[in-house]
Amino acid sequence: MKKEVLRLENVTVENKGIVYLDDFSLTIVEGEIIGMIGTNHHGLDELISLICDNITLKYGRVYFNEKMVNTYLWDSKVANKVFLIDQKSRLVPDLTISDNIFVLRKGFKKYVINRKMLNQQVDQTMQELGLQIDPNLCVSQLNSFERCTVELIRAVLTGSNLILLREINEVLSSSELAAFFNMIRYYRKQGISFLYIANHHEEVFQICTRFALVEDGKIVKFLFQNEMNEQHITPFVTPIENLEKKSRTNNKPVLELRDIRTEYINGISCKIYAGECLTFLDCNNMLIQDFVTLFKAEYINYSGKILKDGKEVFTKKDFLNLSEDMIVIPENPMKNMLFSEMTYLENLSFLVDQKIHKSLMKRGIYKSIEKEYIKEIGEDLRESYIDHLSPQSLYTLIYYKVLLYNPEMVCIVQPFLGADMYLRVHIAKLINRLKQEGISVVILTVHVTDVLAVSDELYLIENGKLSQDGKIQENQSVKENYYRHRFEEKLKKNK
Amino acid sequence: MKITKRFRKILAVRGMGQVLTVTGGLIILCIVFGLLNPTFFSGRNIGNLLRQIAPILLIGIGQSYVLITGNIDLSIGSVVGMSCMISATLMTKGVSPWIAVLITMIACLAVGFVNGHLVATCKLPPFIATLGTMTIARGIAQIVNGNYNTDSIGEGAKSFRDFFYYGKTFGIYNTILIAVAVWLIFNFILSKTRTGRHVYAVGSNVDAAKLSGVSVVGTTVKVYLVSAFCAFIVGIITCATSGMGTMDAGNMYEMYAVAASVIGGVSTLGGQGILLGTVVGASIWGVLQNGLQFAGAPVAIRNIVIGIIVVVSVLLDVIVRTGKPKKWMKSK
Repeated sequence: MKKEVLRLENVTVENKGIVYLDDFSLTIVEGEIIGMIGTNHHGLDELISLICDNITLKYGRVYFNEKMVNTYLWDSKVANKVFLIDQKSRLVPDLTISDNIFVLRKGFKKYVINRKMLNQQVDQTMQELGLQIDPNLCVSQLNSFERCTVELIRAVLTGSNLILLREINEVLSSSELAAFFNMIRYYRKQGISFLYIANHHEEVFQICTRFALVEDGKIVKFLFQNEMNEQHITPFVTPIENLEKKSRTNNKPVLELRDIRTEYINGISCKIYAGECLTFLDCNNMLIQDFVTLFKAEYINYSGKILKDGKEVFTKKDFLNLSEDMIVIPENPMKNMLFSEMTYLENLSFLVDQKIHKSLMKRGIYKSIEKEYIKEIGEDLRESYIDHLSPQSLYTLIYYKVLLYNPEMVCIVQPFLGADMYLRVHIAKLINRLKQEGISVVILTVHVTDVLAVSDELYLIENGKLSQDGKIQENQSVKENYYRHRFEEKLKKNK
Repeated sequence: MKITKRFRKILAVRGMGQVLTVTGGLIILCIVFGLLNPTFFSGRNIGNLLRQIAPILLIGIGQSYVLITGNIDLSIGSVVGMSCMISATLMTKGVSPWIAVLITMIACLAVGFVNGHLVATCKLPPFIATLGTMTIARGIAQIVNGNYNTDSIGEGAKSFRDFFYYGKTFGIYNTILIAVAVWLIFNFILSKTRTGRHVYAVGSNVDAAKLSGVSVVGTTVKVYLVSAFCAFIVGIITCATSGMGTMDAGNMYEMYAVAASVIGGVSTLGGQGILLGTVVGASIWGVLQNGLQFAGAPVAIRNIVIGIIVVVSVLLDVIVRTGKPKKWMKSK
């Protein structure tokens, strides 16, 4: 019988009257990979805190390595030997890989550091995983995949026998994710257990041995390996559907890229039409920044042609005009696009004052904005503080801010990043609303899931180039099948 | 009913709650000092008190602008000294006072311009950048008259001295009127104009500001120019007050400016604060100086009391912004 690594027994976690985990029971045994997705994010942070730090329980017990470590009867507050890998790095950026793995860990007792020996050990581990990363590299020089790998190695060498992975698929491209999964499988065989919390069941199904669907802090469905298919999960997920589609009204493209080449973009040509959504699926997680800087008119070192309304964008003025006509919604826009010190209305109208070029915003303008949008947005519009608003409301604010500015194009970077199931549906509707208003949408993403529902065209980009069969324009189910096929193929190759 | 609605509307203004709280503190201080020494409320003392507050308010305005963008200007005191020394030296050399003022203004704004670009373009930490320009500006203040204080600026500059310090308009000292006028202008810019919103935006979320098309470099340079302009005016007032240029003018003013802003609710973390708070902050500073003097407290005690108030204000700001009390409560 396999050793039990973690057992949560009828756990209830409550704070200020809000129940975060409700009668939650979960057992993880040695060498098991449990997949978990939440229809909403409610309770997932608390679950992680509970497993890592033994937070206070209202009811239930927690056993770690077959020992009771937390119970509702007493507060333990002693951290478990569990390692969390998520979107945020837990490594020290200015130290080397070997320093991060060996020196910065409990139990490293040597006073004089033998760098050669540490590097040898890192090299050996890397070789076991089939990787080649210089152990003398500073962590700040690593990309997301390398960073996650170093964290994984660190976790293993620290002696953690349970590793939590949270939404790492959001920072890794599909090929990187496949490679990372291989490493997880390798360590699984060595008896290390994993709890993988993600947003998309498609990705979780690829790797896990058991799967749990969580809603409002409660497990609503458990699936075993033979049950992990669409048929069993469909009743529990909310698909993005019934989005109104508009046919192309103008055959003249708003923006055309002809053989664009930058440091990472390697000869891409495409046309973007009014009211349509074009998605660039970047398989290698390299191009997004190049595209953003190009669209924000910050990129100078490029070759090829950019045509706006049929005219070449060439001079500095042309670029400024282009950047005025294109709004970029960055990754994690709740953090990167809003001003928490401003009111809802001030946030909403922030871009407008740029557009009307008036130094003094008359009160009447605010009033007319309020009057126009109160019906659509609701009472949130009158909020003085936006900090406490729900993600749904904040996303509404972000997209309506863009709508109010009414640009010709919007470039959205990873629009569904970190969003739960309901929020993803909401975001898809907001993107569709932009399209309905005749605004062209360019999506830059490393994951195809969800974007298919809003995209009219999808460009698959591998190594900076359009993949031979990269342009997909058929209906959604064809696209999904296509993607899955490719994804599975890649997995097989990596295996 | 209407009054309640209006009061609610006032309270809804960001930072107003803190300003009202601090105003309450100011009123209590005034009452306490009034009870300790009734001459505190004499017309003459109030006039003097307001004249004392005016320079602190002016540099407080400049510093508030900088703090709201999430930066700091340590050179503000040295620019005051530079302004005082340049204008006085030019006047003693026979240059017309108003031309001297103009030249001084250009010199001070140059320091602000350099500060802005060092911070925004060269990405130097504002503390280090302005520490450097602080020393440079103080050096200039010392060098312009060969490392000596100037002689008296003379009778020829009487109109200049009246305009900036001794004169009265409608029975109010000009210094106070200048401070009020500057406050009105910069308060209007900060609260009603696009530039003002950009200042808050840069301090609140610099990435979001960039993505929204705000010129972060431009805005940062502007706030340092405002700061330098305010320091220039204070330098001129100091020159008019003493009738000569002193190399030590404006010494420690950078600290007074930070204190006035922070006590008034301007956040050192950027993005928050209103200039009405700076008025109250500067007033508290002035009242404490004046009241403790009346109460017979030695200078050392005055400094200690004011220092404690500054530290507590910053601590409160950090606690409110980071929500630390909530975390403590949670852990308990």
